[in-house]
Amino acid sequence: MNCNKVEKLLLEDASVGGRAPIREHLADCSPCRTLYQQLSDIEDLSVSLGGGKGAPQGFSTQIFARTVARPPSRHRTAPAALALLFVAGAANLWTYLAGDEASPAAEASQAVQQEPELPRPAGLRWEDFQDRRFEPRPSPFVEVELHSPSQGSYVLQVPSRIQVQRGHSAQGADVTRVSY
Amino acid sequence: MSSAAIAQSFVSFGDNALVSAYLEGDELAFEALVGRYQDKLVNYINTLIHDYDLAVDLAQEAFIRVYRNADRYEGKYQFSTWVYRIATNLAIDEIRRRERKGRFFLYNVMAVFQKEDKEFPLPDTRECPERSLGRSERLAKLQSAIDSLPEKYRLPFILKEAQDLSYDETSKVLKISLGTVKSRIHRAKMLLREKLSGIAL
Repeated sequence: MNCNKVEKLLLEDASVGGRAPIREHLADCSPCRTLYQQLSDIEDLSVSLGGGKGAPQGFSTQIFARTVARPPSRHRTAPAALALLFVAGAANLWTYLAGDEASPAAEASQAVQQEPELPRPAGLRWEDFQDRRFEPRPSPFVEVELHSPSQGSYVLQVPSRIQVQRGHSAQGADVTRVSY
Repeated sequence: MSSAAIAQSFVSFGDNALVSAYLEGDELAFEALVGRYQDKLVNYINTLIHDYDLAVDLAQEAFIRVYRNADRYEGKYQFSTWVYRIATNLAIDEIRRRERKGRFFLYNVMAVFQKEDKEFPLPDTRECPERSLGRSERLAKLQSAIDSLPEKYRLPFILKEAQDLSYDETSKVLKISLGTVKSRIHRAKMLLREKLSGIAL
């Protein structure tokens, strides 16, 4: 058996080096013996890479929980954040252009600040649900991913909650303050 | 009862029989499938993305897709082929997402340095001092070398050698021909041999 044939067989599966015809070739051929040793080491160690910590406790329980209710992913929050930014920007622009206390901008800014009204079962007060364990923990920021064919992608962290306040300065000029 | 215990109680059932039982409404059969493949999938994905928590998350996502699309499973392929294909696609998506964001694995950054080192090889015929490297260190060096392989060589190599899939299964998971799988794995081994030439495994 020549070296090319042995190399091809060893590359397919180094364990064939234990078979009689190949073992005889390896005994007389130093380069092939080195190749056999190196490939055997790589294959033996690679098997260990497939091992590891494995799945944690409760793995399958979490799968069933996730099949019932899935939390919104980051990608789904991005449009919401953009909508918030748009509303805040529109409120600003309108304030500068109109400067009217009763303008739609004021309503829009209030809408930004207002907590959503959540439905609750009849006969129970909202306070009954103020168990801290069930309070959502809103993240102060959401990630917005921007794609540009020429510049690549960027991830911006933008505030998930923006407040727009309108008022007047000491000199009487209209003032709009955006905070988060 | 844990998934592993459930998997043990279904040990005489083949994967296809478990899928059929699940489709007939037996949720325990699905849990047995999870128990059978959960460790393999988590370890496989972790080998590709090097983030254990995310690997767990993606492995769960793979099983969720199986759970929701089991009726589309065609018995002509092995179940393992199907679930590995889903896991591979999820892992590749994650790798591409990181690349888009310009985030790199630490392993890959180290691999770049290793490549630079290789441009200035120092001949040294003495016995390698790393001959006595511990198994974990040898594994880390191999992992680093594997991570530096191009994806088209890395994926089939990991599926075949680390996950112990056959050449045939690997070709089905990656949807490439058997001959291509063989040549890519051979090339991967030769590249690894070159990368690890100065290191005694």
